[in-house]
Amino acid sequence: MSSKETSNRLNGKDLMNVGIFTAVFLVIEIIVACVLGVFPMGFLLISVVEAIILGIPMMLYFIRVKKFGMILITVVINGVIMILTGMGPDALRYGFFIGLLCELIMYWGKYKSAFKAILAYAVFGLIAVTNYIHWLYASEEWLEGQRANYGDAFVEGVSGAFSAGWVFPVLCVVTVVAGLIGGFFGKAVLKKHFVKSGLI
Amino acid sequence: MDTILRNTKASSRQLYLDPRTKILLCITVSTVMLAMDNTGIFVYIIPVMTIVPLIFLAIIKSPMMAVYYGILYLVAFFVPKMIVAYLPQAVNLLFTGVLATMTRLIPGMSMFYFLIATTSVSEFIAAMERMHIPKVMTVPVSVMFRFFPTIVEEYHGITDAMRLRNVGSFRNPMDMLEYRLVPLMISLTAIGNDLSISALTRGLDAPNKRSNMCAIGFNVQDYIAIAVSVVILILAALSMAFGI
Repeated sequence: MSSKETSNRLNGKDLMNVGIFTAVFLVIEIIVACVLGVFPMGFLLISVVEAIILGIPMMLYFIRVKKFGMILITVVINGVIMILTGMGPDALRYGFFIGLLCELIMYWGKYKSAFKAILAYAVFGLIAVTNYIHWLYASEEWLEGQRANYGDAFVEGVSGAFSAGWVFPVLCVVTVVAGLIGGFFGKAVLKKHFVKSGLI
Repeated sequence: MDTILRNTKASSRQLYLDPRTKILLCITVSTVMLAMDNTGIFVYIIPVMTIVPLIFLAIIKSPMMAVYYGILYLVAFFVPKMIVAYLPQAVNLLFTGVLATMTRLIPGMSMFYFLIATTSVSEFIAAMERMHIPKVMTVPVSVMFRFFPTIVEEYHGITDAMRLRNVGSFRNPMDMLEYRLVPLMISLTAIGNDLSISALTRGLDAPNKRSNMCAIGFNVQDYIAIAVSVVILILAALSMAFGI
């Protein structure tokens, strides 16, 4: 994409790969969010569970990534879908930098190192966390406006969950750790099934 | 096979809108619902924005979705108010707040459903090309929409196969993850390889501009929808800047 050398340009096959794995990513993301999002507490665990479940497909994807730009395209598509589904622009705004960081980690490993791929995947898991950002900032002012509708006890109860300062950083760290676990698990599964059968 | 974006052309039986108009409507609804407070002039605009998806869902003649949307929204809107006083603080903290915040997300999601339910893949790509979105974005997006139904279909196949061999019962969740996702990924990579070869033979990599059979363009109803969206977005910007 950004690299001008012909050998490093993304060709049709790469773009197909991006499309396939982005589809898998989005489907799993949305299913996990729909299943967990309705339970108390489960809402905050969405990003963590996603990081573990996505380990297998995304490690398969990250191992196929050999050129700059593929992860970035995935992230941008995810961000645009999130805007259109009404999750706000945070997934695109912050996700872009997360995607760039993933690309840099992959580039650092010359797109060959398996460990760097796991590391990049752990960072990639933060994409799901970006969807929480607007609950943290915008929800407080909004809840002030809701005070008249819902009453004081409700507003205090809700803003407690979102505005506790430690929740968000802890969530990020836990997600990255879950991403590492998912990455190593995915890598092991790939070795067990895909390498043996010659698919990679 | 039924894709998520429709394969056939949007017919005259529904109100035809340009995909770009639909995208703008999506963004308007989600921006207003998400970013705006219930103050000033938005006391009136927010309820209107919640009705907009209902109108569009009714227009595309999917009454089930319209009813579903209505019920979901009403539940999310009224239930927290009714039960909040009777629940302990901890439950309110974790559960009711999420439910209440859903009122802000449901309209945007319904608009997105409207977007993908009424747009064919070809129209969508034509619209993206008119917006000068580069090929590195249009190709993955079109592949993605092509793949959503395939994923569901393959997943059902895998579930059937597992049931046939009695692997469906509850086990170690990590194992279940492996048993379900590995076959899925193997079949998807195989399908993906076939698909990319077939797309390459049809000139996916060709440097020329892609021509398109779908004639998209703006009609009267598009201009009306765009005008309304733009006015609302300007109001939102003004309200953010000056607080009317």
